[in-house]
Amino acid sequence: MLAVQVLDLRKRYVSFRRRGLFSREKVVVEALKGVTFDARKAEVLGILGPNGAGKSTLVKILATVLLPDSGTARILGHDIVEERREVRRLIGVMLSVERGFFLKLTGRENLKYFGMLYGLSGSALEKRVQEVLREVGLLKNADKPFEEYSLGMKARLGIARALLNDPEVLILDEPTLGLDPVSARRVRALIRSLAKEGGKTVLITTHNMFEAEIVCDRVAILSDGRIAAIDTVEDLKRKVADTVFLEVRVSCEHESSILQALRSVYSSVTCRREGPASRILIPVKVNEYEHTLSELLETLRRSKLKLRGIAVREPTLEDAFVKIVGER
Amino acid sequence: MIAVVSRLALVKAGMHLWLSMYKHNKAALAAFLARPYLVLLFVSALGAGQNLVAWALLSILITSAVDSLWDIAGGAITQRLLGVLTYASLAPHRMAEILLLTYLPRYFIETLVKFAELAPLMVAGGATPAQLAAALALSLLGALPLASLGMLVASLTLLAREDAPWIDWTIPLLLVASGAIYPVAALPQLVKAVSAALPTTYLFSMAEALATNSSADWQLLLTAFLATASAWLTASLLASERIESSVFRRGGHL
Repeated sequence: MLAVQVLDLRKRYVSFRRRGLFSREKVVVEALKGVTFDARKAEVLGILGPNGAGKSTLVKILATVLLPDSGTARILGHDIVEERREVRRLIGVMLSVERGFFLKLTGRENLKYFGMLYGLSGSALEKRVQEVLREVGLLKNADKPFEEYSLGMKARLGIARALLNDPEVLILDEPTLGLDPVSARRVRALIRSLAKEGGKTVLITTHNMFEAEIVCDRVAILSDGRIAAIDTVEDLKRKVADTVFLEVRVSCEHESSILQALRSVYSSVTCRREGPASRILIPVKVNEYEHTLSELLETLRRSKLKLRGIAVREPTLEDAFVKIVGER
Repeated sequence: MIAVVSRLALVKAGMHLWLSMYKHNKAALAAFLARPYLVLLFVSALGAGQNLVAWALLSILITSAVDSLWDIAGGAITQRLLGVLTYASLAPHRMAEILLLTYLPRYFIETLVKFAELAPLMVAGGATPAQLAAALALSLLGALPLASLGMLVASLTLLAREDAPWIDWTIPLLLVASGAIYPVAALPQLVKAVSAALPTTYLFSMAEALATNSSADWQLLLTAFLATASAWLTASLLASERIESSVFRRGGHL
């Protein structure tokens, strides 16, 4: 049985914009336009998408806190609308890193409160709270008020709450958003171990391509309310494998001259500043690579500007993402 | 039976929440302890009630009435702003049930504390043990029906996705219409009609009669109180069930 099955899920938001004192205009935003995908057991499925693609709407619907307009979604065979209570016993949810707890209460007190709401009590509750605190590495800080927690600790407490009912499916909305690299790495390792050692299915939304590459078994790219692609990271990269990138590094002061010289030859040149240097990327078809490289070297030689380096870069998940999202 | 036990778990969760909240929030605790005395000063300055017993009892009932409305409706808004409501709504209960049942322990604890604070004044004002017992019963149960109204306001507020709490102006109007500040007889005809539909009107009449030892048709007052309270509770539960479904469709609690 699949852990998550989503079929033609649709959701639109209707709001009204005031126009003058007595009239108002109906505004309809179609957040999901027929989303279909599935997730297997013990799999980490990443949901990637640009802002406004519908990621948060999708996870809120799967988390049973928002009703869809049409379509179906099943968690371990249970319909998220018709069997909402049963689904809630099977899922653990984290929809925000920063929010979702009482500020004055300690981490432990917060977890106990939610544990009680979810039906735990007595020694079973105490034991479970202790277990999840240990699992996320928060035992030492369990009795500090939530308002004194760092963002990384808040994220881990959010995951601890999601684990309270020992769920089979975890739904995490941008669990590393705003975290420093050390905290983010810790959260990623935790997610990975929950899936691989704990056998849990994890649905995770993220903007972070690096994170998706190292955490997710498969990635679904959501664009404009639809799944534009779903595959393993490697297979998604292969979709843009007909393209490699020639990367030219120059100091910032020479950036505009080199860009001008290159743009007169190549149509889609992009440039990104990184400290005192600039990275210029030129997408090249694999079969034109050798010819383009010698042409590029000649162009750069003629410009007589000082280079910091030149390299050939394989496509990344970000390239695949940009290509897939950009194509729609 | 299982349903009762699982709802009892919500009451226990509420107890844990509010005791923890007071443990960590000393300023809120101090404000809560001072409030009945401040309301007593306000009530006596307004001339509502005729003696110390009436002032004390009115103070308890007014604060409890305000609290039961504000703590549920305002609590829903606060929990939404904190992002807590989303996770609370994942519990296997209706949101209105969660808000109401987790609030109950707070209502009882706070009413008992308020009563303990003002009971010495009632004794000093000449209250008999029987009057004190009746006053305690009124305090503990009297303002509770307003919780159902609070539930309804909470659901509507979430539906409208409004953070401006309507309760800010609902509560004073409700207190005036119930005769807590001025006698109902002195109110305009239209407001009198509203008064008749409010359980608090009969609650404050009973409090007044109890405090002043005046003659009152207790059976009528009690029947009217129970009838209006039941009507409000039933209407609120039915309405909030429908509203809640719209809230989940619009995501008003998120």
